[in-house]
Amino acid sequence: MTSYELWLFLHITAAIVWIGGAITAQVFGVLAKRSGDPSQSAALGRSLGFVGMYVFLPSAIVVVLTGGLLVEDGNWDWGEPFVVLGLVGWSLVVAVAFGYVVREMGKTGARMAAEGPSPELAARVGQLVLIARVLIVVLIAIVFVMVVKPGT
Amino acid sequence: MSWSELLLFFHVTMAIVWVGGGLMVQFFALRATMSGEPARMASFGEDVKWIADRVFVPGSLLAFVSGVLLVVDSDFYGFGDDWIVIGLALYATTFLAGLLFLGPEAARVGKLTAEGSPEAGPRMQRLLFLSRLDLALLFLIVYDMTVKPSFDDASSILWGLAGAAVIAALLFWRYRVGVSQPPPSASTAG
Repeated sequence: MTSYELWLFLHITAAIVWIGGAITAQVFGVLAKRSGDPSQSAALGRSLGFVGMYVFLPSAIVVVLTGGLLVEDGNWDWGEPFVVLGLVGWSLVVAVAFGYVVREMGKTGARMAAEGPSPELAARVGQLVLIARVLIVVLIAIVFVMVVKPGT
Repeated sequence: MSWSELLLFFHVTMAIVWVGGGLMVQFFALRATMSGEPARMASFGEDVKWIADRVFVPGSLLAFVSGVLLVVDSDFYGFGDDWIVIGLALYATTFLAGLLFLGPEAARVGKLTAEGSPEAGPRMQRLLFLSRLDLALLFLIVYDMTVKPSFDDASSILWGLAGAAVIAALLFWRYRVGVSQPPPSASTAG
């Protein structure tokens, strides 16, 4: 096994953990909302706050580090369109997801558990879920760019 | 964009949904188990069944079909390539394990939990352990698809097997610790 293959395996594995996990978390969110049970939404909010910081964030960091190693090891140019688009997309998603959505989701889940459900908190969760969905679309677009590598 | 690039994108996306989703279910299972709340465990089990039937099963089948089409479309790869033989064997193992044991056992454990049977806890622990082993097998398939080892490439195959063995040993150790401890009370986690 070459070092390039090792970085590629770690890069793809981290992307699987991050993006696949985020998609499944969305499905759990839909099911929790559909159940009509506020305690389920509160538990999900707390769980998402936890996996966001301790699973998704480390995975996102591994994705970008191994991506950089792949560029260096594979003699790719840092100016290649797929590399630039990947880095811009990654920065955008990381800033919004971990700087805002995950933190707010954890706080809202904790408030729901402490104060009970309210229309205000439900609307807040709905907003955060919508932002998270847009971020997932951006992540899938990045996967597309990584696979197709336009301009190469 | 070529047809094979589109297929590859679809193949990778389905693998992301299937394998990454499976891992996320394990994290949520851990949180639900730690809560010690039977109602939360029961609703979690129902949610997992819903997601498995409507997301993971179609995702795994589409990953398989797109993988087969990629090989058919390729001028470089064939069904006799070592890494494809390994991948198909691992896929068949995990598919049959899910179909013949994990799925039916999940239904049996759900029934035992609903009945309040004392057997439910240990059976749930065993099911979680085996489903985690199954997940480790899926990551081994990802390794195989990425590294594409041949049977002559002993180091790549040994690295993959060694990684899988370490993960399996850790999972078994965690399982043994889990069954030797009483279930946590509802106040220990949320």
